[in-house]
Amino acid sequence: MSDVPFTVTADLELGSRVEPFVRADSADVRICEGCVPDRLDDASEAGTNFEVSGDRFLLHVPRGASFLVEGGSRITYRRNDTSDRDMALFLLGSAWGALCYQRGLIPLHASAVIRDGQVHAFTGPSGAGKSTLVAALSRSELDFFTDDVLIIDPERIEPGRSFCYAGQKDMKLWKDAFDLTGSDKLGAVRDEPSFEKFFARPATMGENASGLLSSLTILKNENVRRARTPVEIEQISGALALRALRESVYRMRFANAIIGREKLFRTLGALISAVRVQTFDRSLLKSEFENSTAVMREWILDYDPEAR
Amino acid sequence: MTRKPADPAPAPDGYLDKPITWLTSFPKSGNTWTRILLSNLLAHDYVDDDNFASLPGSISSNRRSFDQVTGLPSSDMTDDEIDLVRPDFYRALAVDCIERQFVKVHDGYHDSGAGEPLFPAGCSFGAIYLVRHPYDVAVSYANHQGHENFDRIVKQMNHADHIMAGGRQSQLRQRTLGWKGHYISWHEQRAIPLLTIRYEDMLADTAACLKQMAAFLALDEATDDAAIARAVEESRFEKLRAKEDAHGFREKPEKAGRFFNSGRSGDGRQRLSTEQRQRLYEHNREVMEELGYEP
Repeated sequence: MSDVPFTVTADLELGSRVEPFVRADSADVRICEGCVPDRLDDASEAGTNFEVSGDRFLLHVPRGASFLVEGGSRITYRRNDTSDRDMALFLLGSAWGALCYQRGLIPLHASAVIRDGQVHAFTGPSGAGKSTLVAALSRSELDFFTDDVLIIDPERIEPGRSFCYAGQKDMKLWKDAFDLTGSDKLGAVRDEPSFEKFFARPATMGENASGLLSSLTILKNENVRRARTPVEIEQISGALALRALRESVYRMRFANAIIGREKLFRTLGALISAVRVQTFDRSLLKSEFENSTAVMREWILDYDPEAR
Repeated sequence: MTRKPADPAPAPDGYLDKPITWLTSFPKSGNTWTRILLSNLLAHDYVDDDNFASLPGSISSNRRSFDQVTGLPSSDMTDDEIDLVRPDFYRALAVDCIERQFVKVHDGYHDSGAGEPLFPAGCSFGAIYLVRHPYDVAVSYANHQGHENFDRIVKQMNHADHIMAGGRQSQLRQRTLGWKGHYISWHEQRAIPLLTIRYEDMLADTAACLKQMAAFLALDEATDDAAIARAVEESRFEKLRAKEDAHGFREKPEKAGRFFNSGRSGDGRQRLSTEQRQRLYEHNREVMEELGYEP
C-alpha cells in the first residue's frame, strides 16, 4: 500500500514538506504556472478569497498568488511576483486542502506523532499549540509524523481502525517555541523579515508518511479558569466527539462545498467509531508546558489501542 | 462634549441590510459588561452558568472565523496582510448571518492598508462606544495582563502603536492606537453612527444607559422598563463575580486574576502613583477634559 494518498509533479520547488508526494513525472496531480481566472462562473460557495464551482476551486492570496485547483488532478498558479517560498507556502496550505477534498480525502487541521505505526494526532484552532506540543513530544520513543494537516481517506476507515497520511513533513514553529521544544531552527517561513515563524526539525523525525490513527486529541485551555484539575485527559464520544471532530476539519467551508455535508458527516461518524477521541486540557503558560507535555507523553506511551 | 456627534442611527428596519453593531472600546472599559447587559435583555434564555454573554456575534479579532470565511491561513500571513482582507471578512459575515450581530472591537478605527476603513459602513448598523476613566482602565488592564507593573500599562495606553494579540496568538492583531487614539479615531469617523457611553454613567444609572443603548439599537425593549430592570439585575457586578467564582469565566485570560475584579470607579486614583497619573493626564488631557474626567 502506498505511503501517500496521491502523487504530484510540479514546475516549482515545493521544498521537503511534501517530499513523499513528489514524483519527476507520471504523477496523479500536475502543478504548473498558467492562466488563472479572477472569478469562477456559477460559484456554489464563495468566501472572501475563494470560490468553488463544481470541481473547480479558486483562491486569491491578498497582494499575492492565485491558485486554480481542478478535478483533483491539476493546480494552476499565477505568481503575481510572489517568491518561490511564499508560492509553496500558500499552495501547500489552502490549495492543498482543496485538492484533497477534490480527491475525496478529508484533511484534518492536526499535527501528530507516531509510535510503532500508531499515530497520535492533536487538533485545535490556530494558536492552540498543536505544533509546539508535537515538536516537544517528538523525542525518544515518539517520532514526528505531520504538522498542521493530517489526511484521512474515507475508503480506508474500517471498524476499529483508520488509516491516515501525513499532510506536511516539515514543521513550522514560532520563534519562541524553539526553546520550549528543543527543535532545530531551519529557514524562515516567509520572506517578510518581521514574520518570526520558521521551519523546524524536531528531535526525532519519523520516516513514515502513513500509519494507523490511534487517537485524536482536541487541545483545550479551559480548566485553568475553573475549579478543575489543570491538566486533564478526558475521552469523549457521540455528539460531543462529532462536534469536536467537525471543528477539526481543515477549512470546513471547502469541505461542505466540494465533498458535501453528507459525505463529510458520514466519514466523521465512521472516524469516531474507529479512533479514540479525547480532550487534553492544560495551561498555556510556558512555565507549565514541560509538566503538561510529560502527562501527555506518559499517556501515549501507556496507551494500548486494543483496550480502547 | 465639544466633538461633533456622529450621525443619528438609521431607521429601525436598517439592520436587515446592516446587521453588525460594533461594541467598541479600549480594553477594560465595560465592553464585556455591556455585552452581558444586552445578552440579558435580548437573549436571556441562552445565558447560563457557562455562558455569560449569549449575544450573537463574536470579536473582530476572531482568527478561527477569519480562516473559515476567507479560506486563507491567517497563521501564515503577516498582520498587515490580514488587515487587507478584514473589511471583506466583515462584509461576508454580514451576508452570511441570519440575525443581528454584536461584535466586540478593541481595534481603533483605522485604514485596512488598502485605502478603506477596517470596519465597512455598508454592513454596520452602528457602534456603541464604551469609555472609562484612563486611571481605572490602567489598573484593570494590568490585572487583565496578570501583573501590577503600572508603568508598563501607562506606556501602552499612551502609545499610538499599542497592539493586542496578532502573530502566534489565537486572536488577530488589534491596533488600539492607544487610549486617546482609540477614542479620537472612532469619534472623528462619520461613516458609522456612534453612541458613546461612559462606564462611570453605567455604574451610576445602569438602567438609563441600557435604555439609551436599546433606543440607539432601535430595540422594542427600549420602552420595556421591566425587561430593562431584569437585565440590569441579572448583570449586577456582585452576581457576575459570584458566578465567576463558582463556574469560572471563559473570557478571562489565563494569567489574569479575577475577570470581574473590582468594577469600581476610582481605583486608579488610589493605586497609580502621582507620576503615573500625571503621565496619563498629560498625554490624554484633551480627551479626558472632553469626557469630564478629572485628573
